[in-house]
Amino acid sequence: MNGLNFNHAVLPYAAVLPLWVKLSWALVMSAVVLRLTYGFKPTVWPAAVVAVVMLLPRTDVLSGYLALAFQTPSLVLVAWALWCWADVLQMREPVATTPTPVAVVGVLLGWTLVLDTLNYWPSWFNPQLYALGFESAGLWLVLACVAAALLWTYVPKRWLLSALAVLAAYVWLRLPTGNVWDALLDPFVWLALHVQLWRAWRATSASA
Amino acid sequence: MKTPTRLGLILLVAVALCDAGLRWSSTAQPMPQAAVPNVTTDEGQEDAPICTDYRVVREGLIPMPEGVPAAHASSLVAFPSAHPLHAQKALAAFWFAGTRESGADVQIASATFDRQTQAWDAPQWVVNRHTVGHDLGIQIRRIGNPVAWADASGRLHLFVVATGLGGWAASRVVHLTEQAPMQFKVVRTLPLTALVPAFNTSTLVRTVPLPLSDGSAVLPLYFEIGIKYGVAVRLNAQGEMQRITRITQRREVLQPTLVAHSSTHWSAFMRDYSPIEMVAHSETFDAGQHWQDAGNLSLSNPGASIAALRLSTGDVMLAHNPAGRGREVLLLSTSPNQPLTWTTRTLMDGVKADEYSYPTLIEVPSTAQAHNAPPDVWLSYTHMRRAIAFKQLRPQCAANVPRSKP
Repeated sequence: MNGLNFNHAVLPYAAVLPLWVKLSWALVMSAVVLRLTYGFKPTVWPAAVVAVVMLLPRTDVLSGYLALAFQTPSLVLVAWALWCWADVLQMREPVATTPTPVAVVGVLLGWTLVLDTLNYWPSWFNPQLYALGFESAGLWLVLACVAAALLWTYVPKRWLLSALAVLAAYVWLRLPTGNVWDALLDPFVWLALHVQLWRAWRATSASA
Repeated sequence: MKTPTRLGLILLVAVALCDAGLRWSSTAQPMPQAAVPNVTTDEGQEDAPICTDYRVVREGLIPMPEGVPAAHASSLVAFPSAHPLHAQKALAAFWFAGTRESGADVQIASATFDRQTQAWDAPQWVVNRHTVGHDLGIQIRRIGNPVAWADASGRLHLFVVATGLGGWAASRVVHLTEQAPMQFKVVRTLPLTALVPAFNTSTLVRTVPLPLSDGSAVLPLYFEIGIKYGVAVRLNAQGEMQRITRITQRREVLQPTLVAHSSTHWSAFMRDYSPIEMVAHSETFDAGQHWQDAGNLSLSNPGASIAALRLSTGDVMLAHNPAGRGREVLLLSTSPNQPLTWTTRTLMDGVKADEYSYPTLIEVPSTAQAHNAPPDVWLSYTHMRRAIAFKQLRPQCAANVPRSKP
């Protein structure tokens, strides 16, 4: 039966997933190499070679091993990788754009997902947070947070563009898993948000 | 309000509307109820025969692939009438086999039971880690624990555990579907835990799904990394994952096995990993939307997998090992549907170091019986970690007498 049901999961099209694993990890790893090497020598060749090696049929085991440990990167990490490439190709300096309140929410969301995965809730409280990410309610919660950030904090245009692109890609393709939390957070994004908060805290402490 | 902010808010609303539109076009099913045989009232039954005992009419070992010394974790599925092999084969068994559990050469083996010869056919390999890894684009270290299910159209699905970096502590559940009779192709890895704590999170499958009235099912799974708890994944009639629900707040129970007492009242019985060593119990009264812990059954459990089945006769059957003696003894307990009061008999009684474990129970209608006779119960289990054994149990029933309600 077809009908408007906001609770069921809509998963990504299965046939695109192997391609997504390769493509996403190739983009992310090449962006990492780009960021690490470009400071020493302004050339894109090492990063381009990494991307090609990770996409070629015989050498794509690298993405396979990354997927073995981390499954797939989030859409946010892929967006970061695309911005890395865009910055270098357009000869712009990389910039951090995530507003601090958004970083706080991201870090808290990550810790809450860890608690949820480990089932460390009191017996009277069972939020099933990860399951919520498959429902429309999870997406609405994210949209409300982005709207709140738009209304009450300074939001760089690039961040807004990225947020809208990530959410639109999630809604359209349901990548990477069909769960909105997985589209936003992975271990690397979560770690980066911790680092950003730590730096913000240190900067505040130094200026105080 | 600035123009970019206004534009941003409009686009956010557009994203929400797109989500609603895409959900409108995707298949959404109402909450189906459990497929419970002969139910005429919510908890009771009428016209169900009274079956006092189950006699073993056939038993033995399922043939193993040649030269393979180890086998474990079997699953059974009856071929539905819509399946192309239904006329020739009654049921299929799946298990993992290789040189040892978690060995690099472990593959998923299967064998079918032929209706005409009344014997198991030669086994065949159906899945290995290389084909799974190739189809997923992921390097898979090990595979195991196959679970089979037939969807509404009669197509078989296979759910297998595939381990990542970290071995069994980093397991994922891979979903495969039948492309041709007994030929399987990978669909996807089921998304069961968040990517954030990705490293070494582990979700596994072990027991058969609970069939629902519309041909969909609830697949029991469990999370295991130090702490252990059961979850239930709702599959639609085509086998697509619909939602995931945690079925217990406890953190030392795993491998849930589901039975439906009525269309909406279900139980999950779980292997206990705590010092209590009793079969753990969770219940839902709203067809799996909400679960609550219901303590323990009166049956002991030495941290070993169990199998439960709601029988066509109305009773509930549980295959399990007892605490104290462990996996060297395999017991079969039956209880009226509600309240649960168990009668236990011994199926296998070995000596120390023997192992009769990881049972699976299903019902398969027998062609040798009268038209209205209850189906036979088929039990498979690990035999000494060297092979998979089976027993065909036939209910010994009195004439159909209306059963009093509990």
